[in-house]
This record gives sequence, structure tokens and C-alpha cells, in this order.
Amino acid sequence: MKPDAVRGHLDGLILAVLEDGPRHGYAIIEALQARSGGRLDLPTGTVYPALRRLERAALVSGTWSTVGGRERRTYTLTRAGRHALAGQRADWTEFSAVVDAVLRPAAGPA
Amino acid sequence: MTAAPDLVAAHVAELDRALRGPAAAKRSMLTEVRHGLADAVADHRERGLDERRAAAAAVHDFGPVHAVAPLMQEELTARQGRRTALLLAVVFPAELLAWDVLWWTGHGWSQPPTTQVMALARAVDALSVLVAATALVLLLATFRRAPLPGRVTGATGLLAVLGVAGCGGLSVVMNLLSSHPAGPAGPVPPAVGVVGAATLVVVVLVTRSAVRALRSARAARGSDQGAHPKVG
Repeated sequence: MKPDAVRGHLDGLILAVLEDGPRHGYAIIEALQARSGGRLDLPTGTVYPALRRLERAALVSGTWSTVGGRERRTYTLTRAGRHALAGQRADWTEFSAVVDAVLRPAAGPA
Repeated sequence: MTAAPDLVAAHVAELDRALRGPAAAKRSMLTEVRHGLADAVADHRERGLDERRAAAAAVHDFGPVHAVAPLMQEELTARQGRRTALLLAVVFPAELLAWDVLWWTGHGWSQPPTTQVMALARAVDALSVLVAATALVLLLATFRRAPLPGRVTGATGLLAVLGVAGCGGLSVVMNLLSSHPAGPAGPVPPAVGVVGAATLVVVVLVTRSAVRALRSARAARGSDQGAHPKVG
């Protein structure tokens, strides 16, 4: 899947990956790749500012820790983040149903 | 130093040069990226690549600086806007309160103020309240995810300039019109000296924050021209 197609949904994808529990930046990138079956063609560098954007909006909270000599910022979904994720899921379901209905080949003239 | 870390370090350094904003926030973002790239290199090494190829793959996966920097700049700009808005929302009411306490308690002036001075004082009060209220609205706007930090931070910078120039200018005129029994060269009452010194500090802080906000907003607009950050 091309980056342009992913861009509008990156925040929701990240929130979904964090639903299972806290993760640091690279673990989130790995989880996105794993859950998409490696089909997300996204510059991994775009995930870090997206995390900061979600943190700025109080949808995730970030804390620093040092693991194996590497400094890691671990992100946790907040209550507002869970609420936003539920909203994004509902929006996506509605959007995809509408697009599917329009894209589906017409039955043809009677 | 081996070539692989150099490749990653060079990419992070290029990112560093491309970004403007609050030093602590920038350092935090770059530290996260640096260690994230180290994780990616380790991951590629585990898959069998040598160190140099692993570093090259990690940098390639990360994406070019011109694609990632605008997104990071947007966040730094938002942080600067939040800082400036918070500063305005706190210091303008504090200044208003400090000067009003001097007036109410009669610590600053032994004679009642003239009508002109009273009118100017009310104008300063009104402008201070307006600046603080607008700053609060802009502060709340920094919590939005929508890609508008450049505009919000630019507006916050302009508000800071308006607040300092407006309140500062009116206060100067007000003090020139005020008649002090000791005359202009006489000793300044201690309470006025303390609040006046605090006001000077506030003027410097707000002016500095305004300049930073306007620069950061300009940096975000400049980054937008390279690659518009619509992710999210």
C-alpha cells in the first residue's frame, strides 16, 4: 500500500497497535508491519512525529526508559485515545461501506 | 568509529540541521529517532545484513530528511506555540494583578491618578485581559491534531508582539502623564521598583518567546513547501 493511501489513517493505525499495550517507537513500527503483513509502504520516520502529534493531543502518553543501553520512549494509549480509536473505527466502517457500495460493479440496465 | 554508525549519525545530523524549535523538545525527538534507527540497524543485522548494509537499509526505511523533517517541524512548531501561549496566559493576568494591587493599596502613587491616566490604565487592563483570553484559546488550539500548528504558533507570536507593544506603549505614555510628587528624577517607591523590574523581565521573556514563535511558524511554512505534512 502506497504512503499517500496510508497517510490519512496513520494516527488510527498507531492507536490500534497501542490498544494491546504500551510500545516504544520501533516496536510500533514493527507491529504496524506485522499486522499489515508487510504491505504498509510507509517511511518509518513518519511514525515518530505522528506519535508526538498523538501525544500533543493527549491521545497517548510517552515516558522515557533505558533498555539495553538504548533510550526508548514508550507510548501508552490514554482514555481519550481509546475513545478516538473507537471513533476512527466507526468512521472507517462507514466510509469503507460507502466507497464499496459505489465501487461495486452495477448490476446493469434492466 | 565504523561506517555504519556514521551513516545513521549523518542522517540524524541532517535532520537536526533541518529543524528549528524548543531545544528540549528537539533533543527529545532526535534522541528517539537515533535510538529507533539503532533498533532498526540491529533488526537488519539479525536478518543477516552486515553492519554497513544494515545501516543503509535502516536509513532507507526511515525515509529521506525532506519527507520526515516537515512532520517533525510541525510538532516542534506546535510545542513553541503552546509555550508562548501558556506564557501569555500566565504573565499578562499576573502583571495586571500586580499593578492593580499597587494602585489599590496606594503603594505606588501618593496622589490620585488623573482622568487621562485612569483611562490609559483601563485600556492596559482591557488589552491584558484580551491578550490572556486569546492566548487561552490558542493554547487549546495546540491540542488539536489538525495540521495547523504553523498558523496557531504564528498567531500566538503576533499576539505576543501586540501585547508587549500595546501594553508597553500605553504604560510608557501613562507613566509620562503621571505626576509624581518627587518629580521625574526622584526616588522610585520600592514597591513600584519591584513590580517595574518584574515587568521588564516579563517584557524580555515575552519578546523572546514571540520571536521564537514567529521563527518557528516560518520554519513550518518553509518545510511545508518541501513536503506538505498531511500524515494523520
